[in-house]
Amino acid sequence: MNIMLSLLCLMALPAGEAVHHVVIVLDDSGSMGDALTSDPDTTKLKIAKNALALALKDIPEGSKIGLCLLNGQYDPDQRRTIRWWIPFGRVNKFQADQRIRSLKTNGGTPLGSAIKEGCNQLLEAKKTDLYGTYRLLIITDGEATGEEEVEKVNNYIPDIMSRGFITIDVIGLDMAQDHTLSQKVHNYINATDEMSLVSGIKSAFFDTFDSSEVNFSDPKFSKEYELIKALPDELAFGAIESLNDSGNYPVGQKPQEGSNVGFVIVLMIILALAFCLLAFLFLAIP
Amino acid sequence: MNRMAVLLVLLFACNANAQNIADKLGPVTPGPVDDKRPIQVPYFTWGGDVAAFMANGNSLRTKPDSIYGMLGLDLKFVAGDNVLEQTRRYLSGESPYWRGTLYTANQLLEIMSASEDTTPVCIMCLGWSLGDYVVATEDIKTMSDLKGATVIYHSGRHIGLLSNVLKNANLDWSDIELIEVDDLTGENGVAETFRKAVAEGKKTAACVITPDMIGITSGINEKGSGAEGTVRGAHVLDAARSDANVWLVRSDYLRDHRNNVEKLVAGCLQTVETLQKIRNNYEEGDNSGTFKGLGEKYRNVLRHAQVVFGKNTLPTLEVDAHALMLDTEFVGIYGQAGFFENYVDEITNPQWDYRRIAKIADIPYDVETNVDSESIYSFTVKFEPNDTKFNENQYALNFKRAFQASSGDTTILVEGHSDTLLVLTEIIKLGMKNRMLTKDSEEETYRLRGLVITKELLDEAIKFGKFDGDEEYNPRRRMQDAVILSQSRAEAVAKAITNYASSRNVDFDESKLKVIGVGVSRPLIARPINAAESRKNMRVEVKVIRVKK
Repeated sequence: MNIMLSLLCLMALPAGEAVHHVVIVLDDSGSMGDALTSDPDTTKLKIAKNALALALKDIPEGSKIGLCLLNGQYDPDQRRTIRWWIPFGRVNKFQADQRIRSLKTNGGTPLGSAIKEGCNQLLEAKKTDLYGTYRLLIITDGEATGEEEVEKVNNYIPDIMSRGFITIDVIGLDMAQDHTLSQKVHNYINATDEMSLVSGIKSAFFDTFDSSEVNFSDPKFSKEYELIKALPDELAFGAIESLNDSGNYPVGQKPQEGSNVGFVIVLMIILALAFCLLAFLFLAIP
Repeated sequence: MNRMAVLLVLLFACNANAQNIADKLGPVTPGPVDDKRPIQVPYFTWGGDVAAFMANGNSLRTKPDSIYGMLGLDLKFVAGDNVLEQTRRYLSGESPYWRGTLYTANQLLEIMSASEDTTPVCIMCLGWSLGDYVVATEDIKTMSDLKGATVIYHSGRHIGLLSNVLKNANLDWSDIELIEVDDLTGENGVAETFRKAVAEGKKTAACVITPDMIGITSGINEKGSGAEGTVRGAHVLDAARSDANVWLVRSDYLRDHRNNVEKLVAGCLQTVETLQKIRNNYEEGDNSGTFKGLGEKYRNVLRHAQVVFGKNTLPTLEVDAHALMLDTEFVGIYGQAGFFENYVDEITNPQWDYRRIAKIADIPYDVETNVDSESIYSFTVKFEPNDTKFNENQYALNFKRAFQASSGDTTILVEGHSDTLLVLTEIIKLGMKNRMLTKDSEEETYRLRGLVITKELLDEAIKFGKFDGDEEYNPRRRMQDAVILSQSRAEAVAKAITNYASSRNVDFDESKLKVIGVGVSRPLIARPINAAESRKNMRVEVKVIRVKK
């Protein structure tokens, strides 16, 4: 069961803790400057800018948002090229709108690197904001360029998906066929014009969730209780705590296993050696 | 009439809203407290007072082996529903204690403070009453329809309530035909008089307590059908302002017998803990379909309440007596300090040392670790699996109380939760699929990589990614779904609270609302063993919390 909640309902609420954490990875490659198939008078980037600006207006107050570009652009204020066109955090909607409107096209499609950077930002946020939603929204008109970037995408997406708490949405913009990511992420939309793009971006801000509680009308539901019968309360609670506190190591890395098991084995070896030494001394000394 | 008595009447008459009370009270001569044993303590026909009976050994007169008896007290509980009568007894010294609502206490404060000795000190909040109601015939649809109606009430218990209702309806006492009855309940009580007036074809309303409200209308959101004693078309016109129920004591008695007053409070707080537990066990067992009866302890308590309040008021233990108990929102030891800080302005505060009281009562009191120590008021909204909808009407009184409690420096924390079952089963399923976990069929336990599973080993395995999900099983994904579900539940409750405020023109600062969904992180039961236990986790907790300046 997939349940969709109304964005309007969320907006009616006052700002509280940061509930929504969204990183938008936007393709700013050269091809985004091409004319749109359905409307040759405009470009893909132009409708992307319009759609983002419109969507921003409806984002719930207090959300933390960031706009990460594939290539990055020169920022005259900072006098350098930056990838985080809107730094991740609570945004000033007016300033964000201005930033979006100043975007230009530039470069190739280093999709893997941008996904990693955007996602790591969400993982970092999860360390302090334990709850809420975490979404990575990718808007692109093409596949990753270069073998290295393709490999990165192929490695990073399953890694992110396995962590569980980040939802990945992809909007393929004016693509002749579905993006290869379409089968690998949570949600995929193919947008062909400004309206469908706006609708796609907005739908990415709707919270959707699968059933997380057992359905008592399911005749087999009691089997689920049988499964956890042998799990002591302390372990059950500990497992929940551990799941909540973990999984936020950077994309593409695995935490080093400084295992307790290893420690126990080393300790046992040391104890065994000490025992042998004592036994030797006991036997050797008359 | 002596000078003091004249002064009392004059002082009270200054308060226009309480004119009727002053007239009815008449002259009273304050006197010294009669401290011969047993000491009289007035009670109300209300569930909160049952905690004090329980401390007294389920008896009006203290039993030697009861909590109060063991503390060396000798008390006699006497009917106090007629507040005017008990105020006379209080002033004359017949009883050092006064029992009533905080609203009435404030109205009577001047008259009770006639001398230094009689000046009242508020010693305890027994709890909040959720159930004083105005019921009305079908032709009274709004408060303004009360104009010209016959209104029946018990002045001792409900004069404050009725004066408030009239004020809100912009009506004067002269706009209604008032019938005052001497008995709150029973054959000559408010409900019976209401039925007689209706039979005479009068447009009628009445101020009643919960059992009578149920007897007349069938329930808060129901309409009487005419069957089983209900009045056809009768309905609840207003779920009256809930009020704090308090004990006051005379200053002279507190000064001379502080230890005994402290024991009265401690004993009651001790039974509040127990009574809440046995009441909630019965209620939750009943609701979850695992009904196992009242249990001996609870049955004894309710049976005694039935004896004291009368079988006419509480015909059955399981429904009527239990409903009277549900009407009470107890304030335990952790809520007492917050109550005094937030509600008691005019009346003197005894400045109890609650650590000392907890010691007398033999109950835990650790404000450092108790999360609820800063909580002024809280309630829980229950949900069905995966559902974010709930019956808002069912919680209307709770919303009202939350607004009342949220005055001052407070935050209303709305915290959503969901059940842990599927997250845990996902861990087990993934672990077994990856062969990280095996089940020892003989010992009925799980092993992790062949080792006896411990919290530390499991923690390490999870943290090092051994339980990161795959396409089939993903515990963290399930956990994230639970976070969103709980957030949605919390937002639904927050929205209902704001809707309630705007629909009733309640002046409410929405920025006080903090809404959060914590998923499965703070379950009431970490490892549920059946549907009833899972349901306990499917909830939203609303807490009004004091914010430190």
